[in-house]
Amino acid sequence: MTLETVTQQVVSANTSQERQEARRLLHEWVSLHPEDEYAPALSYLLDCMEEHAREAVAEWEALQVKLRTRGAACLTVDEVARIGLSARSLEEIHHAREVLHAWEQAHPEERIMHEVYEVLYVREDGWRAEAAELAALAA
Amino acid sequence: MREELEQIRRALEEMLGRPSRWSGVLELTDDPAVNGSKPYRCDIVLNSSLAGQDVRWRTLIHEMLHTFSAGYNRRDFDDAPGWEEGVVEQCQRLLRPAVLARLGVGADEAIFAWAEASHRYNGYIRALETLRQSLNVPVDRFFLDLLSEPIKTRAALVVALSRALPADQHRGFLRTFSAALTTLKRRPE
Repeated sequence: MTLETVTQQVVSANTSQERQEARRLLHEWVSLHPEDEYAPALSYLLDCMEEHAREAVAEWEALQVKLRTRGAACLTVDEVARIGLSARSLEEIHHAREVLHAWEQAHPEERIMHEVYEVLYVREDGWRAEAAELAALAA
Repeated sequence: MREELEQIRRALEEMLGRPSRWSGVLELTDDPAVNGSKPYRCDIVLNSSLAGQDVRWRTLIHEMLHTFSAGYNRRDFDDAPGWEEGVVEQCQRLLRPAVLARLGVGADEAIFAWAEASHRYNGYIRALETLRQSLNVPVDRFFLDLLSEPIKTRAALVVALSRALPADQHRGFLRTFSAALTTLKRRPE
């Protein structure tokens, strides 16, 4: 284990479980290198990430409630883009496209969000490639 | 547009000093929602309607820059889309004038400015710019260094750079960095 691997684990942590694992690794590092002056900074970074993740999750949940109760047409440009750029699974991608289309119909004066479709296209293509690979393996 | 992509590839290879991973395959789409895309396979996808429009240059350069981006793979892109799209788009804006000059293309910058004013990757660029300014690194160096660093380790590289900051600025930077991560990475869970 090096300080670089610990740093990588900390900055990559995205779920609560991953942040816990990063903290465990950091404690292990500190127990092996009590003189290391940088470890407290990484611990502080994890605290900040925990706080910002909580805020982001709450914002996302509020956005989902807004979408459910008021419909896609009432979303702001940034909110629609966030839904599109966050979609990862095929189901989420399909849902994001529906939201984008509904929003575009309600706001014909706004330009098409090509960049959001670019990300959706890349992710969908990734799923297609994976399905083709699995089918080839099964054949 | 295939020949134009070839010219851009050659110009960028000279400017960046490393080879592109583009397969040479250009796939045309007529899906009006998609201007351009660079799937994980090393092909480039462009909308056929872009041909002949000046604004195409920014899309062509953007998609070609993905082929110079280190560690462009599905898992790392999914985990951190902003660390890729924000870096590539800002590199496109920084390198475009020099690329077009090499190609002898005189396109109206106002067309690009219009397309970029409401660009949906501006949020990613703002988050990255906040970090760059806090670190006081020249803009070209910051974004081109990130482009040559694998996507997966770009965030760690920025944290490593922050170690050079004076102690009284370091905690503030880490807080800014953490806030930027929520924009640049996939949605936190």
